Amino acid sequence: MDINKDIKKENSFKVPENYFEYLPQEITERIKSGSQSGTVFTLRPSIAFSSLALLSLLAFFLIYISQKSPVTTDYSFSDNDIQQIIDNPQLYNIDDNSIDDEYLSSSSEASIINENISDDEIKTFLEDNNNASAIINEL
Amino acid sequence: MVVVPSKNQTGSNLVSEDISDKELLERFRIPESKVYSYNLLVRKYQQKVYWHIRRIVIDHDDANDVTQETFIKIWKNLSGFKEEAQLFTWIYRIATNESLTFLRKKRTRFFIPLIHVESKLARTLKDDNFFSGDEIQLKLQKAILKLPEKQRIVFNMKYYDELKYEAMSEVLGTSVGALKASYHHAVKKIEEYLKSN
Repeated sequence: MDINKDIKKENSFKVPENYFEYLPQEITERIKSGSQSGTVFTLRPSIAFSSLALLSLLAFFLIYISQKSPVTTDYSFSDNDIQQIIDNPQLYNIDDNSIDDEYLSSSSEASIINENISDDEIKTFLEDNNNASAIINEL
Repeated sequence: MVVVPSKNQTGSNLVSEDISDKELLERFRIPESKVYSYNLLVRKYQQKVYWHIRRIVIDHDDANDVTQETFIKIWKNLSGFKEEAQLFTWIYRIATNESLTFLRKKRTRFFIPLIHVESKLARTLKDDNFFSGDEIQLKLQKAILKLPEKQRIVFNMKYYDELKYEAMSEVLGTSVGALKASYHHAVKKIEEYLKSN
């Protein structure tokens, strides 16, 4: 292909109507107002809007990420915390029964325990299932 | 400031295209006709300058900004013009430098790598309301935008502006031989691009 023969030499770019009529006046106005490179660095509305939208999206994303991140636990104790534990032994002297009571009172499964079963019924049950593995399976 | 030429100011009703550069400069040095002769200069060269800039920066709004900057620079520096070079090559040099400075600032401002600016400009051409070329003209512009910056300017000045190599040498500060080689390589690259696309 020969660009001088095969392609028509033409100006494919256009300008707004009457652009060259008003250009000298615009230049003169800028010289009068003493402006230098103001328009070169002025953000056009489209660019400004896009930037604003991008920043908003970024801010939303950062907030979303911060809300989704796992909660970290601070395991360090202050001097006051330690002193409080020493002064209140009930905070660390916790027996197994207390844990069971706490579990049963908070667990939703606690409601399935039938408290109306008599001692005789329990005794009969244990006699019928007197091996350990059967009891474990029952649990 | 007066934009439209009138008899009252000059004693003659000259059309900007008719007045020689020499006469323009002489009138510019006279305080009473300084503004008027500057306006004649703008009217005489605005289209050449604009189209030269437009082919470098591609976008109309950008070309408008750079054209205005170019003429403001001319206003500020015309008093010191020594006439060692021709007026139009001096104007072209300012326009070229302003365009290249603009593109560099644009790269910095938008953090665009050097090699991607022209690709970005090529992509915008297709949807540009101020581009009316058909498919082959669009391909040609894309091929031109693939050229290295300096080669692109040399090609545009020779192919579209039809400047002589001697004048281009004054504008770009490059030897005639180097410009001929540059234009030759540019044409080959464009033709190869058009063949393969």
